[in-house]
Amino acid sequence: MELATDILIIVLKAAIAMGALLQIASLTTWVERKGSALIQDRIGANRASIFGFDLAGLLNTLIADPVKAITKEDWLPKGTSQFMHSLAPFLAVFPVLMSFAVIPFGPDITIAGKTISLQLANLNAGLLYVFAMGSLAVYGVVLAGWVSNNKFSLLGGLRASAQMISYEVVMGLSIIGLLAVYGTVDLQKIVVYQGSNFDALPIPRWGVFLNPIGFILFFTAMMAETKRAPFDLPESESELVAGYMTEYSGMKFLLFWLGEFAEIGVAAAMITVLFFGGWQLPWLDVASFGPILGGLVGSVVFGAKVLFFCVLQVVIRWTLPRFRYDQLMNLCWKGMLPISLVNLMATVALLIAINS
Amino acid sequence: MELAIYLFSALTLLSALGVVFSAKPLTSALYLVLTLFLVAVHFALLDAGFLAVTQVLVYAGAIMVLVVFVIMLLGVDEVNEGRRNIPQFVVALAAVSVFVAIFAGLSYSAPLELKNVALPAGFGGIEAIGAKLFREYVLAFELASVLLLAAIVAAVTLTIEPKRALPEGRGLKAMHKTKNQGVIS
Amino acid sequence: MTEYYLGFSAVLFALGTLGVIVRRNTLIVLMCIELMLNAVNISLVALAREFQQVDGHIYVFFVMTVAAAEAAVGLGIVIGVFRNFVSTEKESIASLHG
Repeated sequence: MELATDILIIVLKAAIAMGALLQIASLTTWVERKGSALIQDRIGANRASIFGFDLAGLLNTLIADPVKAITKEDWLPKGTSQFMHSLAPFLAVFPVLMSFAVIPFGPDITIAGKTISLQLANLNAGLLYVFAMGSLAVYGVVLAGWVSNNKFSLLGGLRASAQMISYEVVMGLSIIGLLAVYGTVDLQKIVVYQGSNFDALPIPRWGVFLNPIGFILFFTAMMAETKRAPFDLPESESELVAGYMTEYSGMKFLLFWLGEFAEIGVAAAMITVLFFGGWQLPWLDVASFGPILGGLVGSVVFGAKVLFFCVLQVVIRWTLPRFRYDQLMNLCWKGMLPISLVNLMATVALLIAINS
Repeated sequence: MELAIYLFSALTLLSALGVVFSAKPLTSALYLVLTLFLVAVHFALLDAGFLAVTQVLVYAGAIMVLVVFVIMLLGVDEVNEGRRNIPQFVVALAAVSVFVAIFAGLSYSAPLELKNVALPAGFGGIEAIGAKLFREYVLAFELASVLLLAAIVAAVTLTIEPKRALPEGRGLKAMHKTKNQGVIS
Repeated sequence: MTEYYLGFSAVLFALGTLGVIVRRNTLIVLMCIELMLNAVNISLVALAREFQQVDGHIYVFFVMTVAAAEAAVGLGIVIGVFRNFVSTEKESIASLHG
C-alpha cells in the first residue's frame, strides 16, 4: 500500500512536470507568433477562425498548426533509413523533456502527514544532470543534418553541433563561481539558500546579486546553446532554408520545434532557479505559508518567473540581428570564455577574502 | 533490484554487440552512445551518482559527439568491408573467451560479497569525491589538466591546415590556377 | 554481486578487444577502445562499492579524462590519415608493405 502510494505520487509529479513543460512550450510558440507580430508592427497568425472568433491567434497556433502537422504526409528523403530519420527528432526532444526532472517547483508540501517534495528527482548532482541532458541534445541536431542526405543540411547540422558544444563550456564555467558561493549543486538547496537576505543590505540573496556577470554569461550561453537568435545561424530562415531541419515536414518538424521551445522553457527554469530565487518571494518566507498553500504559492511564483524569462527570450530574438558564424565562435572562445574564467577567479577570491 | 541489474546488463551486452558488429560507423557510434548511457545506469545502480551524471556529460555528451562529428565531416558512413577473414575472427574469439574464462573464474573464486549495509552517507556524491580529489589526489588532478592541454595542442597540430596563399590577379585566370587544389590538400 | 560485475566487465572488455582485432574501419576500432575503457570503469566502480572507498570513483574520473584526451588525439590522427590516403581502413595504410 505504501509502495503504491509512492508510485502514484511519482507518476502524478511526472505528469504535472511534463505537462507544465509542454504547456510552457506551446504557450511560448503562441507568444512567438503574436509577440513577433507586435514587435514587427503587423498582425500575425490570424488566419484560423471559427465564426469570426480567432482568440488572438491561439486558435491558429495551438489547434490549426498541430492538426496540419499531424495530417501532413511524412516522406523520407532518398537514400536514408526510416529509423534514423525518425530517431533524430526523438533525440532532439527527449533530453530536453528529461532535464525538467530535477527542477524544484516549490517547497515541500505535507498532505495527510506525508511530505511530498515538489521536485521529481532530488539528485545530489542536480545541476550536472541538466548539463548532461543538454549535451545529449546535440545528437538530434547532428543526426538530422546527416540523415537529410543534403549538403546544406549537413553543413547546418555540423555548425549547430560545434556551436552547441562550444557554448556548453561557457555555460558550465560561468556558474562555478556562483556554485562556490552556494556550496552545493543540489537545486532545491540552491533555492532554499536564496531565501535569506544579505547581512549588510535588506535584499534577498539571489544569484543575480551574488554574481551578475555570471548571470549575463549564463543567459547568453543558454540562448546560444538552444540556438535562439541572435545565435540561430543553424536554422536561419534566410540562409540555409531551415538548416538541419530542411528535409523534415509534418509532425517531425513540429517535434524539432517543440524541442526548441521546450529548451526555452528549461533555460528559463534554470535561470530562475540559479539566479532569481526559484520559488522564493523576496522578503517573504513561502515555505511558512502553510503545508499546502506554501507549495501552491511557490509553484505560482515559479511559473510566473519562468514565463517572464520565456517572453524575454522571445523579445530578444525579435530585436537583435543574427551573428555570423565566425563572429559567434570568436565570441565564445575569445570573448566569453576568458570573461567567465576571470569571473570565476574573482568570485572565489572575494569569497576567500570575506570568509577569512 | 537484482532483476534491474540483470536486465540492464543484458541490454548493455546487446548494444555492445551492436557496437562491435555494426556494418556502418555511424550505427556503431549510436550503439556506443546507448552503451555509454546504460553504463551510466549501472553506475547509478552501484551508488555512484556523480559518476553516472559525469559519464553522460563527458562520455556520451562530448566524446561521442566528437566521434560522430568526425564521421560526418569525413563522410565515411559507408560499408566497405570486403572479404571477411574468418580464421582471424575464430582465433580472436577463442583468445578473448580464454580471457573471460580466466577472469570470471578468478573473480568468482575470490571471497567478495557486496556489503549491503553501512554505506557511508553521501557515498559517491559530489562532496565525497570533491573532498578526496582536492586533498589526496590534487597532484593527479593538476597533471590531468596538463594532459588535456597537451591533447588539445596535439589535436589542433594534427589537423590544422596551413593558410593557402591567395591567388594573385583577378577573374577567371586566377581562379583557374587554383582549380586543382582540392579540399583535401 | 561484485563478482557478477567483474565477470560482466570482463565480457565487455572481451567484446571490445574482439572489435579492435577484427574490424577494419579505424573509427570502429576507436569506438571499441572506448568500450574497453568503459568495461574497466564498471569494474572499478563495482570494487569501490565493495570496499566502500570513493578512491575507485576517482580512478574512474581520471580514466574518463585520459579517454577524452585519447579520443581527441586519435580522431586527429584519423583525419590526418584520411587526408593522405582518402580512406579509413586499417589496410589502406600499407605504404611500407613488403
